[in-house]
Amino acid sequence: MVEVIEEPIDVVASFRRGLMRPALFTWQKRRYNVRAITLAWKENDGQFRRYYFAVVPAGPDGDMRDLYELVFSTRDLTWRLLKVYSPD
Amino acid sequence: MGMARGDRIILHVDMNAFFAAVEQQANPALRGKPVLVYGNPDRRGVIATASYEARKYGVRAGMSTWEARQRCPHGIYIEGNPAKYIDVSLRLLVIYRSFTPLVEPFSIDEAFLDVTGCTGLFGEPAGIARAIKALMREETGLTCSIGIAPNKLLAKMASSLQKPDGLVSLWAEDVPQVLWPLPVGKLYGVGEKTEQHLVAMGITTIGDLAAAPIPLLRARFGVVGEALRNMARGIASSPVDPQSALTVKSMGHEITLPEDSDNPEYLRRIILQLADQVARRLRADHYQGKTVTLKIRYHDFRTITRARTVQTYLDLAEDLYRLGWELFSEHWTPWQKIRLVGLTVSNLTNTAHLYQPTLFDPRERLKVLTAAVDGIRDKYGEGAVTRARLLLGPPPAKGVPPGKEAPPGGANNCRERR
Repeated sequence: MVEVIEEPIDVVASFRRGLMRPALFTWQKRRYNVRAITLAWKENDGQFRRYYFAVVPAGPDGDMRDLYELVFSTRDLTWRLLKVYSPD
Repeated sequence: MGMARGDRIILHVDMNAFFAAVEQQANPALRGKPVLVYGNPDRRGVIATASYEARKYGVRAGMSTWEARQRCPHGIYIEGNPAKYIDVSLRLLVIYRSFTPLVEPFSIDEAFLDVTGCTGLFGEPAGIARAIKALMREETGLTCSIGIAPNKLLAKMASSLQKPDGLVSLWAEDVPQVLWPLPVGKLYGVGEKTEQHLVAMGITTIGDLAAAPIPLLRARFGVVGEALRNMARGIASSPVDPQSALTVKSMGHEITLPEDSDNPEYLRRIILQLADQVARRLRADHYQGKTVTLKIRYHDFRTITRARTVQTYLDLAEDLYRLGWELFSEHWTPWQKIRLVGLTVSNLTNTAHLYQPTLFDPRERLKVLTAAVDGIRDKYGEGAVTRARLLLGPPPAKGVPPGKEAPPGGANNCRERR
């Protein structure tokens, strides 16, 4: 199931060897540690760029279930949570 | 068996169910499940890629989404995300170029690599192929099939012999044993129509084609006949050309409508939208074209394409729209519902180094306006500014058939050359 969220979020990211990687994010006052980035891609937005990340956070009991799609836009330097994919 | 002295060593890398595999890589919950990537948000388009799990149900790329749903109702249908696939494809090219500079992108999910000069660095060809597969899996999580051969034709045939995750070498001496027993339609370059003609001539296998007398083939296919025979013998000479992707022969777009339509006003807006998109791409890449081709696919999948060539090179949406609408008005069977419309510009010239100002050009204001709109889109994205007409909602009730209304304005300096 896909839930479209489209909400701004706070993200802590690392910048290493030319790569940006979200490490944790906060959504609806809850903190999510990013366990894995399954895919990252980018897209031009005029002269700006959007960086997308499909991430799997560690669940409350350490398991990996839902997939979150995050985007960072260089247009306004904001992070947004776009979608949440849950196993049916 | 193996390569002969002096042979080139060509790899053809073919990604396995590329779009579906990218989606499965992005979302681990999709792995092992029938995933179908379709090309239109309204779900009326066609299947762009089916995962191998979905192919077991008879679903294939190019099949209508409706038919795919009949065959695989429990499949997971995902709207395609071109930006995602293009970005992954570009990363794959970086991997290939870490082995050889001679990389020819063949499509978004295929490439030819000439590794003839790389064996000293990276070892024998199969080892290079295995190293590419390993690096690809490590960096993207994806798999591919690789064919190794002395030319592009055989490399492409080889990669198709083992899927998914295959690795096949095919050298000249293997051709009789491996290729010749296959149906002639399996030979790359032999399309459905050619296959029908060949079968009608009694040529049913690739081996039959390889043995066919040249005069017989020439009589039926002209000069292509001898080329077909050479291909069946595994003979091909075109080099891996890293510049080929930069050589643009045409630019076009097509739209599958949300619903079949026979509404002229709505279809006219679709043609305007296509003209706007194609013209924008032409200008962005510094091209102009003289031939406009309109494609119409009716509700029953009957498809026509009609082209018109003018004397002036064009890159303004207004010009493409006018020609597209003329073609539409002349060739559309009124009130026949349409499923898909496409617009392509060919006969291109690159204008990067050219600018020929015209005296008293009545459309100078239009060109200035277009340049300003391009500037806004360059800075803020394609959706930042659009034509008011394209903001109109869904199609109204039946309008006036084409030809009964005033023609759209625009390129009055275009002259037809039929």
